Amino acid sequence: MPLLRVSDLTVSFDGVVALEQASFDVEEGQVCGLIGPNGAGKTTLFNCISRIYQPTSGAIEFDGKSVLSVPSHRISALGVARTFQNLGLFDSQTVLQNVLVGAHHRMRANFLTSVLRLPGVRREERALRDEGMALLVDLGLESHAHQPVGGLPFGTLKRVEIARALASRPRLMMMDEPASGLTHAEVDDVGELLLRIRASFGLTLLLVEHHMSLVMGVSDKAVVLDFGRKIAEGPPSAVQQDPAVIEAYLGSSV
Amino acid sequence: MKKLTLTRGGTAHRTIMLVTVLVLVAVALYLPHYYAPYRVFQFTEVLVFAIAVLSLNLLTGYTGQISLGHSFFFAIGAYTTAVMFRDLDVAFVIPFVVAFVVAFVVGFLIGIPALRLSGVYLALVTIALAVITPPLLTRFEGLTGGSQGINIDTPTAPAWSGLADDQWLYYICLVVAAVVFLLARNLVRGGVGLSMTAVRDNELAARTMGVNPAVPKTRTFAYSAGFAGVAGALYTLVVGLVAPGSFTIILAINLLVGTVVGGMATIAGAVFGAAFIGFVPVYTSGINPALGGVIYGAVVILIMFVMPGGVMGLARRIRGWLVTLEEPADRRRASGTGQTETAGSLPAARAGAVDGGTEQSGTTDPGTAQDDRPGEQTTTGDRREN
Repeated sequence: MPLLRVSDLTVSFDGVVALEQASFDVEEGQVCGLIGPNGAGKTTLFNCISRIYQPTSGAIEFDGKSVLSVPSHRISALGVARTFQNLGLFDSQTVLQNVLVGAHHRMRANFLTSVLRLPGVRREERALRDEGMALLVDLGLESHAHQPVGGLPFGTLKRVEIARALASRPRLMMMDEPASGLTHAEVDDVGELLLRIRASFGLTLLLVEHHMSLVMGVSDKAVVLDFGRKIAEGPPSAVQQDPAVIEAYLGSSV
Repeated sequence: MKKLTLTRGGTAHRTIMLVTVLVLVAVALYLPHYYAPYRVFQFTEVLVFAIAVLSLNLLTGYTGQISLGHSFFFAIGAYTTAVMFRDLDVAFVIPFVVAFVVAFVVGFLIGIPALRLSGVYLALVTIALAVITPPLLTRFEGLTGGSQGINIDTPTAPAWSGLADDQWLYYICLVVAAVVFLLARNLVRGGVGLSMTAVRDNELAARTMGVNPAVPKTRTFAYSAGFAGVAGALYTLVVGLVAPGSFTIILAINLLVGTVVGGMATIAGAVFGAAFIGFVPVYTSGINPALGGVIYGAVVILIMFVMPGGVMGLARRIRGWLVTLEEPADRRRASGTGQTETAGSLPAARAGAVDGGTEQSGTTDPGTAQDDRPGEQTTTGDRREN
């Protein structure tokens, strides 16, 4: 059974079709690259899995269970985490605090126990802080832990988002353009980082990315979308040779 | 001038914090013995407003829900207390609890439809609350005493205390304020507080991270209303008279002014905000009785330009000029996952091998240092070995 199964997914906004009958599977442990020109529907697909958009028709199954019956705030507890293309950080919080919000679904403290600050709340807070700190160390962010995220460089913030997503202990991590806006050297680092966190956290990755060398380098398989439709799927090397893919990227040769 | 460098949670840092707190406590305790009764009464009022401003700051500062109707919850607390003193022979503490509970429940109920609104739309709906408060209080004359309101006897100082009545009232308000400030600080400092600001900063991302925005929003609405109710209860006790004219929209606006002037999303700022709305109108009227309101308004505008982060924002800036706060070195290293009773929800903590090492206390963050227990073990093993 695949970890993620997207079947015949169609999304339209007021008649504009963003995704049309898209279907593909992602196996556990795979890195699946999702590529396609701008406006192909890649982020729309992420937003469907995150339950931010409601698809018009079709199904999404994660670990054999339908995702479409789960509200968006429970997706993270299912084991699906994500990062955002243009960052979705909490600007008033420090780096560590952002990461702690990532662990929110595992937090048992509620308003009543917190307002009284019962001993269990303190212990849990301490455990989660230590864990968040360990994640920051893992990603080389520990020197920024207590800095507010506002004002940090873009590349650093991209990593903060990865740390925050990891804090939820995901099985599937969706990454929306982790290398966008980064320098060449940083892009190479991202590739290494992705493979490393996949190995050390046992992740399955669904990756939207425009840096072709990066996607092709790390992906086990690639899915190509164009105007909301899947036009190719397979090993990166094969997909690159596919005439439909070449046409989508370079335009018709006619 | 050379900047002072302190390590967060280090001896110097903690000493400075402790001395500051002790000085503030000493000043707060000594105030009523230094000033004349009418001044003490003003300070008592400031304490009452500090609770109300803090309650609004929880809602508006931390979760970003603007309320221009907090005079409503304040009035609920005030009238609940007044009615109880008039009709029932109740012990001293009970009205506070009842005022809190009634305002809490009403706040929770209002918080549910408020979920659908945000920003200026929510502000508009809460204005309606503020507008209907006085007519509502006038309408149910049997219960509320109509436009005359309710008179109650303000508490008198017991003989054993050796205090004058105004001093006694001041200390009551000081104790209640201290409790409410402590509870509010508890609320915002941990994970729950983070969920509040996360929802304010980026609701969509918060949801993706597993925060159901309805939870922090409705709960904060309830606690905010409850604390405003406690402030109202104290108001009744201090003033001895509740009447519809005291709970107009001007009060709600003043509370918002206090919130912003003190500093949004700060706890201590509420004291400065309350002092501002308590004292500044009095002074500006003193400058020119006819233009008092105008000068007050000008002062508010000026403050927003000079210190947009409010008093606390300014305080932080000044601290930034004087002091460099460094993080202690050991917190930058991986300390592994604490082996605690929450391990049931944290599989990694179970998997990590316990090496028996205990963390050195005294070098950790002041907020967690008190949680250090000798028996608590930390691991240095891999975070996730399973």
